Amino acid sequence: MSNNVIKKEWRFNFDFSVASGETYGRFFKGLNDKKIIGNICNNRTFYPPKPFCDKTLKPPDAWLECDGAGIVEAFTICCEKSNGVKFSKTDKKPDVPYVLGVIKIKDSEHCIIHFISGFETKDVSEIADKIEIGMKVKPVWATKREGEILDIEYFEPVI
Amino acid sequence: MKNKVAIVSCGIIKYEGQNELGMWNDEATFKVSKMALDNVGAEKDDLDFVVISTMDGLDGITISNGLLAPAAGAYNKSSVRIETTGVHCIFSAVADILSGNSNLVMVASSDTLEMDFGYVTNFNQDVYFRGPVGFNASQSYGMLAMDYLKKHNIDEKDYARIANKNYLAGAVNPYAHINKKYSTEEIMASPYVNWPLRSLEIGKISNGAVACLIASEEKAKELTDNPVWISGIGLTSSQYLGSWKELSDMKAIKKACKKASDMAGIKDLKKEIDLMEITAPFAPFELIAMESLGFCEEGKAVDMLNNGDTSIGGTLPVNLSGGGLCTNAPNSGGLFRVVQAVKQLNNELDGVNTENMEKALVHDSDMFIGAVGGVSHGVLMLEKGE
Repeated sequence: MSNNVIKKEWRFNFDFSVASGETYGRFFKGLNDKKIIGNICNNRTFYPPKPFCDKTLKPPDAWLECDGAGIVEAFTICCEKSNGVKFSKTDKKPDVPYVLGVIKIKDSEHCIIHFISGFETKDVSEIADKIEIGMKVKPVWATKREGEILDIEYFEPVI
Repeated sequence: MKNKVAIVSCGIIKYEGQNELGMWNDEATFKVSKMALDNVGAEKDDLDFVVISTMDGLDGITISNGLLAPAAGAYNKSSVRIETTGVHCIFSAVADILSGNSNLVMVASSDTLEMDFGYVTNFNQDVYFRGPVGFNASQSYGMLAMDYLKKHNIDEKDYARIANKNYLAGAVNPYAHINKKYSTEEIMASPYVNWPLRSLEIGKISNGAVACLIASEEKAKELTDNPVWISGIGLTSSQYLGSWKELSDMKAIKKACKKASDMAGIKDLKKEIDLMEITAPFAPFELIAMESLGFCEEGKAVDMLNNGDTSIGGTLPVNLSGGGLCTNAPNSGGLFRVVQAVKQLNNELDGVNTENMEKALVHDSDMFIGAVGGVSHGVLMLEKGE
């Protein structure tokens, strides 16, 4: 590299804000009250709710509610801390290893991505052995809830 | 396609690690664009249209093509910036040529930034559902890798073998960022990043630049004796908030491949395609893509890998460039793969013999910002010809 090349460092620090819209707003407000809100679109069930049916582009038909129990469809065990990413409830980064799972709530036809915890081990292979695809999980609620996805602190296995 | 369109020239520099190039993106883009023009004796005035591939989030500024477009010859010309992949840029170039609007189009892209890619790809997620749980690209790779491992009951060592195959190819590619022949044992000994994926099974971010010139049939014949014809292109995108089946079954790749094959008049991919360049920023995606593209039954790509079919000298070499593990450039990775396929068809790469290879398939995707949901895929068919 030539001696004439210099290096510039910078960082983004902007504030943004965006409305949730009616459909997602109901879901997040429900979390505040430990409720999982969904809806029916074109005879298909969705938790979280969808603002429209992407197959027909028609509006949803009816609202639903459940306790948030579901199954694990996929997961990964995160072994590196995410630099820069902080979590709103604690303003900390989670201790590694931790599990991020793809969770299907009740009979929903789409999924959410959330933490799965409660394995009593930090050994990656042991955690991997403890998680079965199709394993039942339920939400563990945060003590302080503000209408956001982290009102569910994590999902834990249903024993 | 009724009217023919060809790639007539390429410009490329060796890819390096983050911030190792010593160039900002206009300097790097100028270098490769000038190279592409000089190779066929063309001038800036010969260009009708310029297409740039950048993504603001990956360049750390907004309207990040502002610097690049003039460097690719766009001053006072028609130009467009496409924030997805190289194949999408080529689609735009081909469309403009087939509309009769252009005869010669420059497509260029570069990566010159150092960044925390985990953080950036978390920033790329939606702010209500995925962003707050820290989700990023690498974690999405881990989920797909886990899914394939559990569904097909294969060994984690198979993932290391795919990585090894790519590192062996990258080691002899003068343009690849990583030229080190990591052994299967070294790969298995690297730490888990997102189980079941290890550090050496996920591409490290690369910096570099690449350009190519796309021409109408008439212009191609005027400029070169060595055109590589674009015979088919298919583009699709996947569901963002979908079922795991929708997010993981790669239907979008299948559809893109079908569109491209139909356009190219390809009846039997397995018989007709000689080589492939696949966007695989994590090792097992090569298996997932080969199956989704229709080169083998589900769960059987690992047999092709272990038989050596997809290695240098195999019956269907995949990622002779070293793939995403050796060169993982977010903005320019798609064009990099296109140019690698062109060079392979022209038997221009030292270290590999591709003398009798006539047809190539290039798969491109923006999955470097997340591979489960909301992913765009492109499939390009290329044919050597006169």
